[in-house]
Amino acid sequence: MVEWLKLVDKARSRSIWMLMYCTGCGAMELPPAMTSRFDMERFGIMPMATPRQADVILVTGYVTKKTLKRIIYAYEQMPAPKWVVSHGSCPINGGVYWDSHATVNRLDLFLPVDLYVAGCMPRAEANMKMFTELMDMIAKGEARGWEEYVKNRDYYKENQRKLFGYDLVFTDGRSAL
Amino acid sequence: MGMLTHWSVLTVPMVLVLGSILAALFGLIKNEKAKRVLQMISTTAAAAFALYVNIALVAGWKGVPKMADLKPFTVKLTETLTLSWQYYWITGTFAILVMGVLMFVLAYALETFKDDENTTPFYVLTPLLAAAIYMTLASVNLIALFFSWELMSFVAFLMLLYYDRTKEGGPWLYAFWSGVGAMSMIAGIFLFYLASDGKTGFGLFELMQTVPVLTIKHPYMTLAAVLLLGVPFMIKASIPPFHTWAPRTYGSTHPSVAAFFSAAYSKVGIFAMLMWVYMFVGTVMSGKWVTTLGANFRNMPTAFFILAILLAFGAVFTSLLAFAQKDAMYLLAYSSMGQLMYMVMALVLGIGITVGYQKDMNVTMTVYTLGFFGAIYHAYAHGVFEMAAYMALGAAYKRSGGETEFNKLGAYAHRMPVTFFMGFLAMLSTVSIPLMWGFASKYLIYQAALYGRFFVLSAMALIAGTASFLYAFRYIHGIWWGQPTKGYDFMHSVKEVSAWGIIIALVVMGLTVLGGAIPGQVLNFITGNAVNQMVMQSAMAGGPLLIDKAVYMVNGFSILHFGYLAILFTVGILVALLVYTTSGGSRKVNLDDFYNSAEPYRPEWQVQLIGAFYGPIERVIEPYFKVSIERVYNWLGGIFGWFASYIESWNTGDTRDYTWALAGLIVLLMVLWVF
Amino acid sequence: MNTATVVGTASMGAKFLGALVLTLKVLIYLFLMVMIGLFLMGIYRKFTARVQYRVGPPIWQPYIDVIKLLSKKDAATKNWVFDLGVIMGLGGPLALLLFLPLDTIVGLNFHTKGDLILILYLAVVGPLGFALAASVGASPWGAIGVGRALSMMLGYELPFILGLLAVVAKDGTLLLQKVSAAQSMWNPAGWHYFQWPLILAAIGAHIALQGVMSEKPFDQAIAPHEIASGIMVEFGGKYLGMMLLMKAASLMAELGLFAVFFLGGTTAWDTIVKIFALFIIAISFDAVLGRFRPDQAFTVLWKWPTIIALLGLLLTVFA
Repeated sequence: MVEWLKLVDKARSRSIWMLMYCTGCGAMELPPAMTSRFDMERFGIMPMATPRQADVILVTGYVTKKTLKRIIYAYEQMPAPKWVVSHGSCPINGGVYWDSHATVNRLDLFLPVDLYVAGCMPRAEANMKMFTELMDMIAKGEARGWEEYVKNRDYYKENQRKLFGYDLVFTDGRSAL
Repeated sequence: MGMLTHWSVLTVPMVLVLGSILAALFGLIKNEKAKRVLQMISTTAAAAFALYVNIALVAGWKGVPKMADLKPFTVKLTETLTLSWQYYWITGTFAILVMGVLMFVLAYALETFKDDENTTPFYVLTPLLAAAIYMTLASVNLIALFFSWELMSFVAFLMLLYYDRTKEGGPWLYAFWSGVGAMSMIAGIFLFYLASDGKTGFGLFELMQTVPVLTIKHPYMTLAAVLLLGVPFMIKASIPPFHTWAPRTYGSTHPSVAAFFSAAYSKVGIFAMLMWVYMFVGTVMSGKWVTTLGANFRNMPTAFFILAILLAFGAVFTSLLAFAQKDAMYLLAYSSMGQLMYMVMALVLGIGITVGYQKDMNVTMTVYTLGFFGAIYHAYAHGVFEMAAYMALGAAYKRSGGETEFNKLGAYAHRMPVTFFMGFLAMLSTVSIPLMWGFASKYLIYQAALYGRFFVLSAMALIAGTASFLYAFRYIHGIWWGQPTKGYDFMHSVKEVSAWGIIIALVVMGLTVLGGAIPGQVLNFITGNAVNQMVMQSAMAGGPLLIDKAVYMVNGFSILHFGYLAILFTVGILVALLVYTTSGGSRKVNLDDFYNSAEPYRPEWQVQLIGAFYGPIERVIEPYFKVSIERVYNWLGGIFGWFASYIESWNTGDTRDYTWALAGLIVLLMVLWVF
Repeated sequence: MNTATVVGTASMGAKFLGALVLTLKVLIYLFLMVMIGLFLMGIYRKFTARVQYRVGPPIWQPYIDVIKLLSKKDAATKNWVFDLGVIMGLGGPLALLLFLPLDTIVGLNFHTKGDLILILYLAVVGPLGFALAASVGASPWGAIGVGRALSMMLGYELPFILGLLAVVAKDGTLLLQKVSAAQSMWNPAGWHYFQWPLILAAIGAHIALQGVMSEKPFDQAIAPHEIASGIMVEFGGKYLGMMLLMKAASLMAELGLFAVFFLGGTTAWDTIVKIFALFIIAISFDAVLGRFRPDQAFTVLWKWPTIIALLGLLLTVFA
């Protein structure tokens, strides 16, 4: 059973499908990582069209209060196991927008971030390094942010509520048919 | 058992009329619910009795007399003319279908009539219509057929008139075409009278035999008589170019009425076409016409080939029209027309080849059997699935407060899963998914067409089948799934049909699968063993055909084992189920939790895509529907209207015009008198 | 009496054993076919990457993807009908595979129990199941995808059917084994593809085959850049994994049918070789072509391949 799980973790690490939440300029260096120079598909990494199909959400740029709602919504739509990568300076500490009234400086208060890539913006080499790192973490079973989110749900929800001023509930049960 | 000796062909209609009278009496009850239930019980019981009698007669059960012992009903008018109604196996075969549909539709009507709709006309008139249909099916005399036919049309008109839901003139269109049919039939009968020098007794079977003789003597008159006689039948079976009434008539009425019309009433057209095609064979293969209309073209008389091509084109075009509809009633109406054309095409192929292809008797008999019984079997399949589709729509119609347009329906399956499944299985049968009744019947038609080497026709029929996927999916998506268009609060108030409705739905679902799982048995049962006899004849002649309990086979040409099909299909599903259960978990999310570019959906948004579901190809095919037969009729009607108003203007307009017209008329009369 | 009982049980045991062996054979066959189908998809990704001057994923990447998808823990579902649609979507193509002559690879002969018409109609069970699931998914993107998929189906069925019927007209049979027998296995001159006038029908059907497999330029239904992958928009985790398996099974079925009808596919092995060849041709076009608009694709399909295939059919019938 353990072997099987290891095999599954290995498979997960070699088939990372990503949802790129391109909120800012950070996504600029992703196309070079995708195309023939670096070719991330070598590792089975592909961009996906919808959160339902994705394994990892890349938050590539500054996070405003408004976009954070969408990010959380997209994250909650993804099937577990799932991972969050805080990509570039802005989601880590606010970057150049750190003193803006609308910018959320730290993404990891609201979502369980598995991996940070520093840089403004991170170059394609850094992206590739990030992906290999993430692959290692997944293969070893170390990247367990999705479990943290379930375990510490109160903490994350409380932070979200503090920020938005209300509970972030996307479906209030009315639409359950 | 002394009672049994009094059984006649009138027994069933009389019971139906009794049910109808009871329903009328119950209509006086003030309590709406009690009224409906009592009406339903009285009429459904009558229909069930009628169904039982017909099944017993066809299957030769005990407790009812044999088919041949059933007393005919005759009215002697003159020395030579006797109107007569008699029960024979085709009557029985079609009557089972009509009575079965009648029973289900009446029983299910409790679930489809809104609270503010009056059910009395429906419960009174539908059994009457069924009785008239029964008399039509049993008429063995042209004059008797005429009277039954007109009675039927009139009752149907009354029903349409009362349940004119959309007020688009549907009933009047129907009345107009019924009138055209009646006049045409009268004219045909009159021409027969002339062609036979006043000697005919108008017996149907007698006419079928004497038509070739009459043709030799009076070729033009007999051909005209047969063609004119065919017009009302073609109108009823909605065959082009006489189909223009059907969509608006079916589409504008109540779903339950449409269910009976489309599933049962239209089958009278098929029955009559079945008779008529034989008569047509008699004309075109005799006298002057053998070398022209009856000339052999690709193993069929030319006239038959043209008719078959016309029908195949019609099936394709109506199916293309069906998926472009924005109203579920219209969609089903067009779909129904397409399916009817399939049936008549099979008949034309089967009967046409018996006179066209004389090289190999076995091939002829095989194609004939496949085409003839394929048509009958498809009539049944169509009866069941069209009824189920309309009934399911009717349930949604009642719950949505009378909506039938797709952009006002949606997501009802979440609240009424059983009803959805009835509609879903109906659509699977419509698109002929294997193991559904629609597949078992369409397969026979394809076999007939392909074994008779009519490849272009087969391709067109197959394409019509593909187009049926498009409209079937529109029905499934538009009514049952997607986002609710009336909001979630409204949807929470929607309730599944009552236990009674669920029982009926389950039975109908069972029927949809039954006819596709053991087709040989069902087909034999409903035709009173006629298929077995045909196949045995074919086998004795060394023929290649086999329609067994669960095998269709034309030796060396095609084969289909329904047993293997059922098992292997189950295996496929089970393996899929295995993958499903052994793989990871799932969680249920709410209906409004869907991918919307990460924007949380708000219930006030209207995101149910249905308006332009097939928009791109609708735009492609639209220019080809610029020329429609209905437009031609409208154009002709416009000319007549203009001419009529021109004449009217003589009388009501300027006095000088009137004077001149009068003077002209007098001059004309004088000229005529002089010469 | 004793002996009779013994014989009875023995025969019962033998029957049970036979059924067990048969079941195993069926399972092995389906597993094998799906694996080959996934391998084809691996070739596709590698091939496309090489055309784009990339290294590309390993050729076994689809297996990894399927394992990953099937092991996802909480894929979203709307309703139990969603699950049912997906099961029907995978079960249909698997049942279809059992009616193809490829089943001789494990010594089965179920393909003699059905014919072309059955295959044509069984082939739509899968797409219909997934269309139902997409409809239940209630995303407008899914509905657009379904609309496009069915529009495409109407488009490619016409030339495809005309092409297949030309072969039926030539050989006078709907049975796949007889169509195989009418051709030679390895000599291309004995294939329907290279016989006049059937070559016209074959070309028409071959163009339509690109649509049947929904490869470019006919991949409107799953256009990730336009409509967020259309039908698949609400499919995640095991649902998407089952869809990949369905895609693999359908690839084998569609290409196998074409190989049997036009390339003289007789035994399982030579049919599989021909499937690979057909697939390489298809993805070569896929790699370099763009995508039509849905209405353009429909017009194209009902024009050129249809005319060519119809000509082939008519010439065959009137020959």
